[in-house]
Amino acid sequence: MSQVIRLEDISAGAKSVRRIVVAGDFSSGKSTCVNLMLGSEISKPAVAARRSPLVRLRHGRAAETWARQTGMAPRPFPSVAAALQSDETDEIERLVTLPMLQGLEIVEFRVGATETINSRLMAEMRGADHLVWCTIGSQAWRLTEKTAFEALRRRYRGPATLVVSRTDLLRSDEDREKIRRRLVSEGREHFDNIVFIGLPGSRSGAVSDPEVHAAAGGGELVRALSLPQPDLTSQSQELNPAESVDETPVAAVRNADDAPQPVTTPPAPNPPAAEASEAEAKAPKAASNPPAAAEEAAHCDGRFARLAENIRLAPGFISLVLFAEDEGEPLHRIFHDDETARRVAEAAATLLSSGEDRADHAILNGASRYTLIVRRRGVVAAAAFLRKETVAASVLKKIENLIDQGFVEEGSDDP
Amino acid sequence: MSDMFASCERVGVDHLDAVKGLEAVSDTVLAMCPAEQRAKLSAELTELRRWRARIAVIGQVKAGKSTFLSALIDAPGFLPSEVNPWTSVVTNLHFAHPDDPQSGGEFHFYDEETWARIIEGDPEVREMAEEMLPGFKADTLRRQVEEMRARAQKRLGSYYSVLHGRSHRYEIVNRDTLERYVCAGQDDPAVHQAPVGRYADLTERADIFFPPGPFAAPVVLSDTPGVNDPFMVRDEYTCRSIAQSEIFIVMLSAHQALTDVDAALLRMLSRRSDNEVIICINRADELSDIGAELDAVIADVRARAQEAVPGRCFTIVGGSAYWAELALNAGNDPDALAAVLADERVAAYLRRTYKSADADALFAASGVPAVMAAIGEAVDGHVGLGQRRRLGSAIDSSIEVCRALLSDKRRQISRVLEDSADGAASAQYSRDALNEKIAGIGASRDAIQGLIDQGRNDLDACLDDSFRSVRRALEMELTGFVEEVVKDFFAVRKARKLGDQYEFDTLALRDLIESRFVDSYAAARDRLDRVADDLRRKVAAATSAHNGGALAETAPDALPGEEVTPAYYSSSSRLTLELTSKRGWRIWRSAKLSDKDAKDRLARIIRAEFHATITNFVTQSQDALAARSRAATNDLSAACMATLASSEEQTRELEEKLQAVEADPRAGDRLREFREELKAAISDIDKGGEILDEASGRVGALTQDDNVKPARTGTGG
Repeated sequence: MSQVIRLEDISAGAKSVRRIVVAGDFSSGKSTCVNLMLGSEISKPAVAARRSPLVRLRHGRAAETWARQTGMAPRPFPSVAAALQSDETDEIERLVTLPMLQGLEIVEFRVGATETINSRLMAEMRGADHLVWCTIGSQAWRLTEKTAFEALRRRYRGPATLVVSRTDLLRSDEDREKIRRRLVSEGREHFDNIVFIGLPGSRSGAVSDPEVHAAAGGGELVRALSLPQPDLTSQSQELNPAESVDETPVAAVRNADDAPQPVTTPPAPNPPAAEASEAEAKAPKAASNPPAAAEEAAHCDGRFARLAENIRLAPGFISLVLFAEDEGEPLHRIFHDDETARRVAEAAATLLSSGEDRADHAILNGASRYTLIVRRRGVVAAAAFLRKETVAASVLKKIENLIDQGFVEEGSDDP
Repeated sequence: MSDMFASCERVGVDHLDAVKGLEAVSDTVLAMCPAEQRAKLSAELTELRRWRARIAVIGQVKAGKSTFLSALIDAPGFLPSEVNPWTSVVTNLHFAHPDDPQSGGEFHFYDEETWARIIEGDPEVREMAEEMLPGFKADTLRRQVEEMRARAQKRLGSYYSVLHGRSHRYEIVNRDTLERYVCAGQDDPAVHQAPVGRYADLTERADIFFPPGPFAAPVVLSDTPGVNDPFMVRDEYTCRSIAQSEIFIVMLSAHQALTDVDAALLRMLSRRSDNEVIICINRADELSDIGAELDAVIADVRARAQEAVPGRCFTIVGGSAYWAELALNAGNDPDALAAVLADERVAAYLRRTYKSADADALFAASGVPAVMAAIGEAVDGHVGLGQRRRLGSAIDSSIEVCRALLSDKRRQISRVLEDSADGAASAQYSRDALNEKIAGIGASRDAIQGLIDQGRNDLDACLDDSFRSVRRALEMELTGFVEEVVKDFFAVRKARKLGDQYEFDTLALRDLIESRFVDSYAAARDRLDRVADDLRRKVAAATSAHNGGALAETAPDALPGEEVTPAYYSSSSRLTLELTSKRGWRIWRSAKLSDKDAKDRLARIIRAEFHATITNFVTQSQDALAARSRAATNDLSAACMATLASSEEQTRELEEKLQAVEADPRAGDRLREFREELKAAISDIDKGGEILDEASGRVGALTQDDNVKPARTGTGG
């Protein structure tokens, strides 16, 4: 058995996508913080605290909202609000067309008492590049926050920023200064930066207005996180209004890819011969999610769903496509529209057959993703991940498992 | 009192009326009681007069407790408040007690012993925990207390040692005075020389006295330091002060209403069914769309409070201490008030909810009147009722004793009347019977003493059993948990998935242990009550020949130790094994560690963590049950002896009179006169009976709970 590219051969390249984790108790200003980071009202702060699933923001060619409910495979939803209608929703993934999000992944989750930190959240921490802890100015940095933060810190030693929210409500500069002094003295050992933000609720829609953004502390925040300054004036026009807040339509038509790449995205190391994401790039810009696909994702066989979920939960997972080798028609897909899935399948098939011997698996090194392609029992799987470390033997094993056990009935004969 | 409070009903008017009624009945009954019974009833009366409704304002640091409380007592800005956690002393505000002054205050300092207790904790337990759990919170607590002590020493110099265990009194207390004692300044060198917080690190509590103001019945409002502060000392003080109160105002911030910490607090406060818990959502003024957001927050808090404590309804009030402050300060600072009323956000909300946008509406929206009304309902209702019932039950049992003695007396007199109808010869027969009864009472007394002694032994034995059964129940819960954890741990270890750490959640165990404690205590108390009841029946039988079996005993629900409240622990509830630290945890992954060793070690760690909790619970149940047992037997013994003595006294008196009549030379005429006296005495006895019946009816009316609404929800503001 020979491989087109051996796992070990992949040279250590710089991480291509930065993950910023934004954590804090409910209503601690996480959404406002994210909106200020991006200079755009991406999410609306919730008043009530009942539901608080993990939310992941990524760049997408089209605006999409996927939600995972306990024990089920993720499926698309017309909007965040729709995904939140179910108490069972425990994770939401949003693809947003903002160019600024390229090379960036923002993960936002609620941490109440230390008990709410589970292994799922800890796994997110392991792949984090920056931890932002949000706290309300008037009651900043309480004991539970400190213990919860310290718990997250056990798996994460990178930079951390304390974001103090709602400081617009403090009644005087003197008060702000007193709070800052206390937080500097108590938070020195925990944080690299302390940033005060405050965006009056009535102005949250105007976050992309440069003046509002600056007054709310957006500039300071962006600097503390080493993010590029959001292009405020142009973004406010560029962002499809339907895409902001909760009303993400299923098939938003966007042309954001023409925008220049943000400076933080490092160039792709070792560009390989074939390029799955190029295949994706050729896909039509107008993505669609036919209802049939959603059905497929939601109603697939339980065991298959569990095995697929294992892969999906791996850190930095982007997408997965399974197709029959001889047909090229997708059998199953997660976070892909049909058209893109077909393109990926084509590229993968070409790649796998290009070697002298037919390889069992290969890895593609893309601009912002690593795609692992596995051929087994007549089924080909292409799984894309944000970082190289994930595309390791363990994920390979998981994919093989998925094919072996998930396609026992429908899969083709022995390889 | 500010005009703003004119629309508020004064707190505890109905309670006070009921107490006055009970006092009048007590006077009537006291006049008819034998001496010993009188002492007992007077003691209960004093107890009720001494009672103050204790109201604690609690919540997380910086929820606005001090500001809201200042407004609630019509003294805006009285309690110091700052943007950073500030209060670190429990401040008790006293109102409307006739024995208290109406101004001034007293600041109590720690004595060395109390300090040492906080610093050291239970040395055995802490040593164990520290050895096993690096970073155990005792470290931090001890360090913080020691820092506090060092700071106090630095600030006060040689004066420091003089102040220990003492107190300072003031005729007049103002904000400056308070700041010297109550505020912990920042650990900022510039502040060291300032008078603010000068004594704060040494002050344990402050008692401040006020004119009655909005309170008719006596109340004490306690401002607590606040929970969930990284400065754990504040947390510790709050926990210590909670046990003493019966009405709680849980202060939340509208921005982050009911966090996990608040929910835990609610659960803990709800463990006692007779506690009144009022949830107050402060800082509504800081919401952007006040009406809609406040409604949403209140609905959300109601739903989640219900989830946290199923089956319990809380009074939920939304409001703003800031608004209350503005409305109360309208006279001094009309501009600030006008500015807020001109804010369209606020004005629109006020107009929609209160039909007008003026100072009165702002005060109503502040939530102060609603919280005041809820306190009033609690004092008039079930919280005060508990106190009134104790006196009511004491009056009732006194009435029973009086009735029994009266009927005993009536029986003797009727007998003498009957016997003496034939003349002096048969009166002699009566005298023999009376003397026989006196001798009988002596014998009964010995018999009862014996019964009581025996009963005390039985109760002591039962107590021993009870402590053991409570401990056993808790140990069983712990053992079960340890087994679960060990099982999980081994599964992970076997799968070779032990990471750098292993965590397990002890919150569930804490809950289990606490509820098991409450249950096992109730079972132990019932067992004790059965033994006490048995004793009571035997004693009643032994005295029935002399007083109709009436015992002036205290009703079981008025005895101490009816319920226990597990103490609140706020410490972090997750145990982490540092598997790679240098303190020997590598051993967990070592193949050399036998399963049995690993199991023993793990069990020891968990036991160490819970050792203090269980010991505390067992001690708590021991103290409560012992007090209950003591109260039950002492009451019984005193009551029996008192009725026997009274019965003996009235028999002897009758016998002596009869003897005097017989010895009289004009025995025949004298006997006729004496019989008339006896007939008059019988009619007096019957009148006394009627008075007692009426008194009993009055007590019933004054202590029934038809005014008590057991479950209330409402939104003020």
